[in-house]
Amino acid sequence: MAKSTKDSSKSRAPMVAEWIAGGLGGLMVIGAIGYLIYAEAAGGATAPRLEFVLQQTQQQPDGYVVEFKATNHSSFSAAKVKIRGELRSGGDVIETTETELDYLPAFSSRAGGLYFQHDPAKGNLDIFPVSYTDP
Amino acid sequence: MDRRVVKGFGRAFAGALIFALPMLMTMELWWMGFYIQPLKLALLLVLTLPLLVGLSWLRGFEPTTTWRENMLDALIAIAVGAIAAAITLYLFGLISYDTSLREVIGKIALQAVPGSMGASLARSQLGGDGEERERNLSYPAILFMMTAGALFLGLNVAPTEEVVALAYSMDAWRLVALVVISLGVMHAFVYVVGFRNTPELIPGSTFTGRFVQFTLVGYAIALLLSLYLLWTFGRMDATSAAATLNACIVLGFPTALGAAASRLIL
Repeated sequence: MAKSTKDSSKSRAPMVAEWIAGGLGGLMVIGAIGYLIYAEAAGGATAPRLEFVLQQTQQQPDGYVVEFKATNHSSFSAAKVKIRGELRSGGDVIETTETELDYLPAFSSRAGGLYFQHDPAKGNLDIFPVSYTDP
Repeated sequence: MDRRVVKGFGRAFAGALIFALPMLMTMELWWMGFYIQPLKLALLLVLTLPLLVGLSWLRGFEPTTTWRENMLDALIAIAVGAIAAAITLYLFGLISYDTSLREVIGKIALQAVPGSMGASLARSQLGGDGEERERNLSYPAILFMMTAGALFLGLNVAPTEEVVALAYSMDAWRLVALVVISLGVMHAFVYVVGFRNTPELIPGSTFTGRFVQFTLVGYAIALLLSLYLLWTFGRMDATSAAATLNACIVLGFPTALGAAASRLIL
């Protein structure tokens, strides 16, 4: 066993598979670093830019749930994004509910839902952000 | 394909998972993937390359290993680390097809650092079958190994809230005690399992000599590395110097252990 080191991976020429894997690793590093430098250059937003899209409303035994998708269109990642849903009818606010997203990363989307007692279809529903923190 | 090559990749993936799983299953690291500053992550990736080349060189079985082979080893380790991270993150549902590119790249790149360390270490054991080559390491090589060991343990802990929470809540005498204990435990490691293959460095090998040469220098490395990790993970932003020092001491505990036990870990 004294000369077992002869069989070691280092004593033979690298195989094709290893060149491929190594090349892949090199491309990954260059790609990731290139992208990160681009992201830094393209970034610089000091506040998030949020958009809310209503997905669908489901009727449930004790009310309605409105599913929404929140998208952050900026390079600024927001934390603790507080979201409020206001249901209005003829100028009066009938019902208000709230939720919070732990994180809404840059250029990413997260989904959530708001529960209402009244049918949102019978009024005007507004979903908007209330606050966030810098993570 | 050569059976040894297949076995080598298999080991590399296993090593990547073992090293990266604690990080893959830590929430702060998922979040760090998207809110870490891009340039800091890029710098971490750039620094990972020489680290992996060095690890490959350290574990090399033949003294004739060329720089080019070590470079190839490092890049293979990165590929394996990144692929293992990507598969695991996808399996956990932390990345999917509608995740933004920024988030996907951030998460995978961050996890690829410990993963590639594990891949490199596991792969280089190929063919060693039970017989580890004992090599006399130079002093700089030992310091490099300490840095790698400190980084490995530090990466697991640095991004977590706990470091900062402890830094705020521990009172002064506890922090001082932690410094003393870090040094004590470190010295015990250096003495017992330590760097025994380097007797020529310290003729006479006095207690003080060893303490200064390995333990004190090693602790300095651990503290500096802690500082670098805290900076990388944004734990120093808008934080007073005193609070940062406290956090360094807290994080210095695991990194000091990592440095001292690097001989066992790596």
